[in-house]
Amino acid sequence: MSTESHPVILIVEDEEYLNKALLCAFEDEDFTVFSALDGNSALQLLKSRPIDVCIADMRLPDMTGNEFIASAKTAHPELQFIIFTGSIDYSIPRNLRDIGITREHVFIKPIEDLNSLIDAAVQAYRKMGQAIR
Amino acid sequence: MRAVLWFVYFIMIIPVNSGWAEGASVSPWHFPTGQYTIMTLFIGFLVLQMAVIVWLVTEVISRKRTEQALKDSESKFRNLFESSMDAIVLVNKDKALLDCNPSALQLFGVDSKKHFMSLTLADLSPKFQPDGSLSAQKAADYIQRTISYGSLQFEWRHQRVNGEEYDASVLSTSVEIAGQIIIQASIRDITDQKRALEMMVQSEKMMSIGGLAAGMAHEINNPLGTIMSAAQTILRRMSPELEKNREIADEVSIDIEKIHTYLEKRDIPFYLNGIREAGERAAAIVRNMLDFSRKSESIRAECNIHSILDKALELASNDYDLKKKYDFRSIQIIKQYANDLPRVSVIETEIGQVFLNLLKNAAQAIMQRSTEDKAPRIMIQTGRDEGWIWARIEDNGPGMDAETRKRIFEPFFTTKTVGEGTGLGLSVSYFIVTKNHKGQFLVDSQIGLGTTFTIRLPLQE
Repeated sequence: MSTESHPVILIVEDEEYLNKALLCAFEDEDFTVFSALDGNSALQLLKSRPIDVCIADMRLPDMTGNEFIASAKTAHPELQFIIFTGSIDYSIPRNLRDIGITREHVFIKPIEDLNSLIDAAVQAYRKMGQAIR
Repeated sequence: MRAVLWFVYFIMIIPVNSGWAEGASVSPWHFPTGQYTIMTLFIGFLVLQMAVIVWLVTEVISRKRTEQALKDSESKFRNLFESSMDAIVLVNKDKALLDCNPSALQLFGVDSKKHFMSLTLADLSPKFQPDGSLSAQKAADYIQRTISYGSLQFEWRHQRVNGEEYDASVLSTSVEIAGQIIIQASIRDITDQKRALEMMVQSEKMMSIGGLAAGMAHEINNPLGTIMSAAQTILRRMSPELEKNREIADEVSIDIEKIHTYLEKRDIPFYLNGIREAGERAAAIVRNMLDFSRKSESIRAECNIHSILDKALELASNDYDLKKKYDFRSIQIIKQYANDLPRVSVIETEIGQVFLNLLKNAAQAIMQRSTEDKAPRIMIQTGRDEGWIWARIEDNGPGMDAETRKRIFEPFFTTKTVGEGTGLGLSVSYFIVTKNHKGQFLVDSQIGLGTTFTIRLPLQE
């Protein structure tokens, strides 16, 4: 189960190598991490695993990242999100801003340092913890 | 005709004055049977004479009228000729200039008709036409064709007496006057028309390129993300500092330090860093390319265009690169700012970037010239017209040909040597002005005459 410094992570990214690279980075830092290559299998995983933070690509084969986050947030209100996108002019849509997603949750590919992504995931999880307490 | 009439008149008056009339004195008023009296003949002649005189008078009057009508018509056509908006030039088939109207004087920049008549047809065109053909040869061909077809319409590159060239649409017709074939050419300056069309094509082209670049950038960023993350993962997983790596090495009974030493000796981390650095460079290019398609988040404010220009000028003169390669301060800067220019709603940083870019380009262009006598000069002008304000940056550098001019806004198009420019500056500027500010970005250039960029910004959006 998750500790305060180590949230459970879900990576939703359809690019297989990239998915695996992110997975490795988290695993090596002793995180519990799951991964999915599309939106529906990610939603399935969310049902059965205690996931804290989800790192989501914005272009998935079966749905948009926006749709995925909306469905996931409805089913799991405490879930936190990091947006990982290849589109450089990405602007956060209204519905995502409403659930508290800001610029610091958005990462544009390619990222220069995987550690920054790990830090952001931990930060998002801590914030959620503070909000609950 | 007149001679015949006079002849008839004389025939008629002969009997009146000659001896024939003498017999009539016997009994002028009697009509002997089977015979006309002299008196009868006399009266008949008299009536005829009157008729002829009346006829002659009316003939003279109608002739006068025709002459007047001709005069009227002449002055009407002269007036049409003189007041025509189109320049009209008359030439004979040997290419000698015969006449022209005031519009022609204005179009060719000639001060008097006398001056115009002292010119030759060759003075009105540059040596070559845009298609590369010799103007003289092409003109002779067009004159020949005008004569054989009666009329001909074509486009022509003309030249004012000050050497300035312009494109014109010409309608030439051939007329025969007093046995001489004369070519009448109506000439219309179509520079503005051509520019409007060119601007439309340019804007269409740039919008499609912009869309293409944005789509392409996204497609490139995804695989780039994979490449860079993979390189980072390899580096991480080879590092003895990562606890997890030690664990796994122990598990398979390998000394991680030894692996590390081997990798270092074979420069593996060096090459992996190469991958990372190249990836970062590619990512930076994509980011720059997308600068223009990115929705601007900066705030618009009412700004004074002159202070933006002055700031850009200061940046340009302090810019290290610029100073190292070209001494900006050796360039004479002429400012001709318009008075009472209203403030305009712009994103200051963006418009400043555009001006800085244009100033840098101008400086680089000027320094490109080899040894010429013209002192390096950049002229900055501003002004306003009907709902717009404009700023113009003009250099007296080498200028560019039409092909280059048409392409300068395209991303990655550069005339600079490799490494000196990315070819993105002008295209980003173009999108800042046209897309983010709904303005216009114009370029005027001729080889040897320098380049002028004009930015027009709408006063109200």
